[in-house]
Amino acid sequence: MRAMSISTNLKHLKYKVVDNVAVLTLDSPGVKVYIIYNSTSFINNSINKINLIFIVI
Amino acid sequence: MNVLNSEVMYEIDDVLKNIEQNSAINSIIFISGKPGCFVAGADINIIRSFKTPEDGYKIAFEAQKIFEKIEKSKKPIIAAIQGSCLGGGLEVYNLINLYILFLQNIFHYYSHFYLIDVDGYGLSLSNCCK
Repeated sequence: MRAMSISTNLKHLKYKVVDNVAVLTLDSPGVKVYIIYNSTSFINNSINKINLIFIVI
Repeated sequence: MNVLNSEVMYEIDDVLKNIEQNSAINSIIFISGKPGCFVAGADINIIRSFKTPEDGYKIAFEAQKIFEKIEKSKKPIIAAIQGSCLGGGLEVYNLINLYILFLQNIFHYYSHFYLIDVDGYGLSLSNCCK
């Protein structure tokens, strides 16, 4: 396996080439996402069709 | 989760240009540097900086151009996706040629549920209009 690091000024991407394949690793500023399943009891029954909620912080 | 802000999008654009010109590279793999998640989508914090509707349009249009480059890349693009993938992350998923999916993936498109917004920098809407 041949790996070659590419030197760039990238802040959020790591870029390297392995056996003629460019591998781009995305590591950007993040958000926390809480995923709640089967949340019908969590929220009002009137909107009980919802079975998945995302809370992005 | 990773977010796609303007800085990230421009970096992706730069790298794709570099890769397209590099004949030694024959394919591309996108992976996440954060374990258990891929991409959440656009960075909603940038919405705060919009002063006019045109500001939002400009950001969305620039992002759509970069998404289009991903879609039309001459080199096959693979996304290795483990964990959750939402909103604009799903747009990336839709654009690429091949996916490697891992168990326990969570794909959902309901980010517009809590955002009065169009997902993926409006790419879904622009695709609908084509």
